[in-house]
Amino acid sequence: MTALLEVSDLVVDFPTSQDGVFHAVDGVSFTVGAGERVGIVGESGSGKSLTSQALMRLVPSPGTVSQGTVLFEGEDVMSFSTKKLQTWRGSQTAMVFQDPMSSLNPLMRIGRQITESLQVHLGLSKAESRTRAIELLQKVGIPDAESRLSDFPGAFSGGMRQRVCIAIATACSPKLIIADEPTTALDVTVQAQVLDLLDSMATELDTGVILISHDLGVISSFCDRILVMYAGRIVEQGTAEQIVGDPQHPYTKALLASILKLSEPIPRRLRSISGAPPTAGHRPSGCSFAARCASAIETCLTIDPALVPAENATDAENGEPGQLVACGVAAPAAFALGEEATAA
Amino acid sequence: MSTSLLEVNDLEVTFRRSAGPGRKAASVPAVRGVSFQLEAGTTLGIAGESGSGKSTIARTLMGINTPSGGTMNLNGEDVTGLKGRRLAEYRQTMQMIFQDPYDSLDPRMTVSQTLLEAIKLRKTNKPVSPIAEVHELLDKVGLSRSFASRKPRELSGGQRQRVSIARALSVDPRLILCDEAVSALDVSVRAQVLNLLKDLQEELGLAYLFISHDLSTLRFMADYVGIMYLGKIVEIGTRDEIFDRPQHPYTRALLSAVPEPVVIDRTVRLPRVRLTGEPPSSTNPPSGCSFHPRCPLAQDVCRTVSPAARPTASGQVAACHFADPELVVAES
Repeated sequence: MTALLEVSDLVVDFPTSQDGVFHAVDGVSFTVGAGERVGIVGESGSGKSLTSQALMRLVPSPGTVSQGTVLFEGEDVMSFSTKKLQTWRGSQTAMVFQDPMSSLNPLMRIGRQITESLQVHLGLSKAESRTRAIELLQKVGIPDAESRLSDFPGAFSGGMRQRVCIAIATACSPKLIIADEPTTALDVTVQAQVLDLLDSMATELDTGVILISHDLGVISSFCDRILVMYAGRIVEQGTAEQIVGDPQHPYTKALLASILKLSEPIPRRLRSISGAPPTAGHRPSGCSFAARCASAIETCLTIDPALVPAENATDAENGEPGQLVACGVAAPAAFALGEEATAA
Repeated sequence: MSTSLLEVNDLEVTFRRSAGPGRKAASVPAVRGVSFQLEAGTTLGIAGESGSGKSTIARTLMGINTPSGGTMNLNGEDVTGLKGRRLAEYRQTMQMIFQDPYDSLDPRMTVSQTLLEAIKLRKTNKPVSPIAEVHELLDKVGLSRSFASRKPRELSGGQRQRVSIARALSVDPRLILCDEAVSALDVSVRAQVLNLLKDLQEELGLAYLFISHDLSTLRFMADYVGIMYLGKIVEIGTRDEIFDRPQHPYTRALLSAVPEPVVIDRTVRLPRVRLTGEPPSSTNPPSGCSFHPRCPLAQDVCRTVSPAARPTASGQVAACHFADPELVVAES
């Protein structure tokens, strides 16, 4: 079975001020199946948004994708012509961003913004696309859909705007939706509505979804599988239950421990992760989390651990990727397959 | 009953919104009759969604916005609508920390210049050795003295917020208003700053008015919690009352909408209390109870009569006709 999306060894480079390059995304590989919901969680600067931009070929300048392949239904996205890329972006894939106001054209009526892609990508007539646009707005729960087609984005509230963005994203029934912090700007009661909506749209159309968020609560309640990113790499991946219930990487564990949960007793003190992630261009040798890691041993400072099956991995036999972890302490194979730092 | 450090009674703040493309001029009642007390050394948390008026309360307390009604008492002294020198003096007792340390620190000033400026503004207790005080402040917020010569761009988000805290502490305040003070920080760093705020409270006997949309953070920080909706406090009580026995339907919905990173059995996933619709515009609040268009319990009375805040059997005060139906308390 070919996956809907197959990303291998993706590297995104940014030039540094000292004429060097900095791998903002550093060898990321993952797959997304049809109808699968994959979450990418990480703190700011971990490379989670950049990963999604890279696979849409939307890396902001001066960044470049210097390595890696992206296969969409077996086709190499990196070799698409500009024209093919445009068609693919509009009809096969779609993105939903954090700030709906900045992804909508404030001077164009909502109706036009939806019908545009229907006419361009599906070749619908003006009347057909208008009917379809009304259906789409109704589906995302916007009351008085017909009369609201002639409104400008400014007439909608934040949650309503995000619904419009989801209507636009699902207009051409894409096979993949990338949602980058789609609910971060929304209130918690509205966030729940928008996530429910995204969920039912994905179920109905069997769309693969990549949800990117800094909020492990949002990610784990929505996604089937979770990728945890730190300093440009995937440090752990597994099902939502594995990541939340049985995390293996010290970073994932520390992250979970530092999150306050309403369902647990109030701690006297919060467990925090000391220090801060490495800054751009200052990747340490060895594991990039070692300096902040409570379980770090000397080897962590010299060997850069590979992403390997976790010791507790159980579901590897059914062909599904099981839980993977990039930590030599949790899984010694990560050191065996890791890269030794060249003499610093 | 006038021993509270801070006492706010029936505070009202109304903004004038000027006419713009496609809209008429209007008056926007951002805060509509809010009352609460804050005791020395304790934390009152204010939760609510965007536009509920929680930041306006803090900004009005600081004298940035002008109240259109109600009173504010600090240490028993009426401080409503102070101006000029009196306001500056009053701000020594009460300081504020903002959400975005990138915006609230001067990018051209070093950390020590920022702190010295604040120290020198102090009216009482003039500093003997300002530089020594800068070092002391850095120690207090867990930054090494080498940070004194750095500029904001050389600091991480967490470090900048520590500098903001140090600046607030420089005038020896009794009360710090924290407006979404940790919301812009990554979780691992957020935990460090929350721990620091708790340590400082214990050490210096500070009171906090802690404003946040994040309920789990409030549960960790606050002794008392008020829940705001459309310019009003709809429920207020001790932390346990609000989080363990919420009475107002809005509080319940809010609590059940928080996604948590815990293992859930998806097959038996409990239906959450889902609200339909979104917070209405504060320009034109709904009649009766402002929450009625979204409330699962709403009855006819809710559409016409605005419910008064009244004590409930489980202890807290809630403004709902149907909170705690067993108990009918006569309005006194």
